[in-house]
Order: sequence, then structure tokens, then C-alpha cells
Amino acid sequence: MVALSCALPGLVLGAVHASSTKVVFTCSGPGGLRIEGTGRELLAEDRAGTLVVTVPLSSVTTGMSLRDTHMHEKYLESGKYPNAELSVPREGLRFPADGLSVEATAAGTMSIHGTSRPVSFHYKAQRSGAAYDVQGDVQVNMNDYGIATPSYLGISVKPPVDVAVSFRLLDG
Amino acid sequence: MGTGRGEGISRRAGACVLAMGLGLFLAPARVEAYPWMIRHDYTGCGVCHVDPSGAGLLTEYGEAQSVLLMQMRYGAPAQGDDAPSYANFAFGLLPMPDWLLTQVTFRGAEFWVSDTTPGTAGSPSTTVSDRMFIMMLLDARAELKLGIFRAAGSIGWGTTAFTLPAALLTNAADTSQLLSRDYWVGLQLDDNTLLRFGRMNLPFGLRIVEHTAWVRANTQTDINYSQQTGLALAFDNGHVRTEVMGIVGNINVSPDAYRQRGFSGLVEVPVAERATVGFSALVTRAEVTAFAPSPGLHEVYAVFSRWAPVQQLVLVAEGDVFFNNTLGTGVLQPNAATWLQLDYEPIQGLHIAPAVESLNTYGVRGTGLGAWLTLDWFCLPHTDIRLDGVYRNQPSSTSPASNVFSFLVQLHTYL
Repeated sequence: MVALSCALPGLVLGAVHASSTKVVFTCSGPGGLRIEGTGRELLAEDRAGTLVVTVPLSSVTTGMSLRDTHMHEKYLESGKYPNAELSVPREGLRFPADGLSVEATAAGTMSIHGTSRPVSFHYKAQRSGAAYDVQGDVQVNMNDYGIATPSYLGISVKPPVDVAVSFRLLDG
Repeated sequence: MGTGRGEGISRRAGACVLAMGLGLFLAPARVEAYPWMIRHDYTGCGVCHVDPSGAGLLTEYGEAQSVLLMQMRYGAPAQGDDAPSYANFAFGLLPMPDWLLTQVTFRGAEFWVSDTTPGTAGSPSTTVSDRMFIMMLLDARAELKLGIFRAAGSIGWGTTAFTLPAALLTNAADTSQLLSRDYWVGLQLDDNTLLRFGRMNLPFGLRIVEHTAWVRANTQTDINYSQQTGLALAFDNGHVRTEVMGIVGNINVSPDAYRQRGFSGLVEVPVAERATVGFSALVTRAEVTAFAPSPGLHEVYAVFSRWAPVQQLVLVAEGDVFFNNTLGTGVLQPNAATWLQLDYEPIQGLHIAPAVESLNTYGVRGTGLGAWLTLDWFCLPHTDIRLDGVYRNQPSSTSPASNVFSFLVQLHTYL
């Protein structure tokens, strides 16, 4: 899902191109309720052979201020656990040659709310010179990370949350 | 109130047929049904409304959203764990148990109308004007929810002949009616699925407050008086929203020959972020119709869409074709209607909503055209003030096209 350039021996992890970064989570509830949170901040870095994608949770909003307050203070506890992180060993990733794309599934470790769990995620990367356009998605169950099921005025969302990210990674 | 049964029934049936056949009353709007809530990512309706296809009684969650998302803000946004207590029934002064939802709703309007028919050789043009107060809506609504069992209904007061199809009792002049637009029992089969039996809004097309729009009034699918009795199954999982209703007729209408039987349904799917496309169909048969004293088939098919390219702007559109087929005559009467509305909300609580519509009627040369301009201000909790200017140029089969201009100032409030 991240920093595919790093899977190439000798390549150095590049910077995330901010304008093309998007983080989206989607969860659902009864009666067709669909809540979408979005963010524009994402950090990718190489930590001794492990690629780590970090999303500052405070940057994620849902379009409704009171709901955001509940999400950050009551459920994610973003002040105490400010980031969501996906860590992936380099060798677990495939990478595209210049002008080509690759689509695959990989395994990593997701850390949210102070809890780390193994996850399997899907990614697609397209390389154009030194730039890699990356898209990835993963589903996590918030209860697995010690996050209580959000409930408000009789409406509870379902614990599975779909997370999708897209960003452009620049080599070097 | 309380007329002789035979007299009352025949007058009611006649008025129903008249209302269904004409559908031209220019007075929006009856209840709250806001497809533009898609701007807040709400593609479905059942989270905020007891009716899974929208309109009418609000859930507790819907009451909160009416304050948090719809009312104009005059200060800092609400903080803390809950919406303000005044979002609830009776502004929070009469707390209700979890299993009971209640609401009392009023909508009234001062209404001006001017109808000009151009002159022809030998006859001068004529203009008819009128001004009146219209009590559009005075309904008390409730829902009982015990486990998977649900029951809901409304009881209200009507003062015009147009609401006779929903009348339980009426006086001799039809100026005082005890109404019940909807009443049903249901089973919540799971989080996404609701089975209901009773008198309900028809699941069809855009559920808009502008119940006199040609796409609603002329297809007999509005939420003012076109409810029918039947069995309905609604499903919404966020990826597809659908409701299908088997119709056994409006049991308020007698004799039985006037009752329409068949089905109505809709399906709507998200096609992009804050964008949906839907399809609807309605097919009913009655032994006597508004068009002939013989069996007839009424068919309506619609495509509709909602799209919020940015949060401040929502486009809703619908195109309908409908047919009135007098069985056995070989006469099929095709008609068509369209509706396109733009809802612009520059600041929360203030809506500027121009709309255009068209109508093609069988037997009438030319296309009827309408233009609406609406200003809706959700100025206080549970309250909005709405201005509507509506212009319609409507050809007729018997006279030159009339030019009708109407203007309404509405107050809508609920406990």
C-alpha cells in the first residue's frame, strides 16, 4: 500500500505529495446510514526496512462538528492515541517498473487506539518516472482495537470500517 | 362533521377523482422531505425519518440533525455529548420514553394566485386573482417501537377538498376534515429491512415537499393525499435503497370501484460521492378512473437523481412518463413530466432553490412550463419560513395557454 519504491533495492523512500493525498474511512449503520470521514494528511517513512504509513487522526473529519467531537474524544481518543499506523515489511510488497502498474494484496500491522493487529490490505501502484501513484484499502473492525461501537440517539454504526488511501510518492 | 354515509361517500369519491385528475393546486408544501440532505452524505432516509423512504415523523436522531444540520446557527456549534435538548419533542419540555416518538406539525400559508388566459377572436383575455390563507398541515404523529414491532400513524385536520382522500370524517361542505394520511404496523426484520402494512406514502421518485410539482401531483404520487393502503418492504444498506409496495387501494375511498390496486416501487443507488440515481415504477388498475367510467390502468415510470457537487449545492432531477389506459378501448394516453431543482445553501439554514418543470399532457398541444423560486429559512428550532413564487404556462385542450402566477408565504413549525 505504501512506499513501493522502497521495495526496489537501492531506492530511497520519497516524500508524499500532499495535494494528491486523500484518506477516507467509511462505516455504515441502520437504515442506510453511511458515515464518511476524510483527511488530507499522511506520512510515509522507512523505519529499518519497514514501511510505515502514518495518518494523524486529528486531521480526519466527517463534515459534522459534533460528530467529529464524539469521534475524536469519545471513541478514537485522538489526544491520547494521535495516529493510525500501518507497518509493512518491504519484502512483502511488489513494485512496478516505470510506466507500469501493480496490484496486489499484502500483509502488515495496523496500530490504532494503542492496539496493534495484523491486517491484510489491497493496494495498487502506478509508476511514472520517479512518481508512484498509490491507492490502498483495508477493512478494520474498530472493536478489535478497543474502540467502543459508536452510538448516538439510538443509532449505532457497525464495527467494520473501510479505509481507503491514495497518495503520490516521489522517489528520492 | 358526520354526514349521511351514502352522500358523504359519493361526494368524497367524486372529490378524490377530481383531485387526482386535476392535480393542479398550486400550494406547496405539506411535510418535511428534503432530498438535499444528500449534501451531508445522507443518501438514505430511514435514519432521520420513521418512514424508510422519507418525510413525516422524525426519529430522535432526525430531531437532532434538524437542529445540528438544518437550523441556522447564531453562535458556536453545539458542543458536548448530545444535541441541545430543545431538539426533542416539545422542545425537550415533555421527555418521551425510548419506545415512543411523537410530533405535532403545523404548516400554514398566505397564498396569492393570478391566472390569466389570453383572449381569442371574440373573447377578451381574462384574469382571475385570489388571495387566501391555507392551513396546509396540522397533524399529530406518533410511532410505537417495541422490539422488532413498530406501529405508526398520524391524525390531522384538513380544510380543503384536496385532502378528502385522506379524510376519515368530514362535514357537509368538506371544510372540516379529520384526516389520517398514514397508519401502519411493521416488523423491523433487521437493521436495513422494514416490512409494513397499512396506509402509507407511495414509494416513488423524489420525495419532495413540493407536492404540487407536476412530477408528483400529476402522477398521483405526492405526499399530501396520494397515500394508499398496502404491504411494503423497504431495504437500505447504504449501497442500495429500495422500497416496493403492493397496493390494495385507498380504503378511505368508496365505492370499491374507485380503488387503485397494483404496485409502486423505487430503487436508488449511489453512483459517486454524494450522487445517486434511481428508478421508479407504479402500475395500478381501478374499475373506474378519473378519465372514464370503465376499468383503467395507470402506469408511471421515473428516473431520478440527486447530486451534491459541493456541500452548498444540490441538484435534484426527475423525469416521468405516465400512461392512462382505458382498458378495452385501445386508447393509451401518454403524458410526461420533468422536475429540475437546484438547492443552494450559502450558509446553514438558508436555502435558495430555483426549479423548472415541464408537463406534456395527452390531448393537449404544447408543453406546459413552470418555474419556481423558493427561499427557505430555517430560522429557529423546529421552524422555517418559506417563500415560493411559482409561474406556470400551461396549455389547455380547450383554451389558450394560461399564465398562472402564485406566491406563498409559509410558516412551518413542529413540536
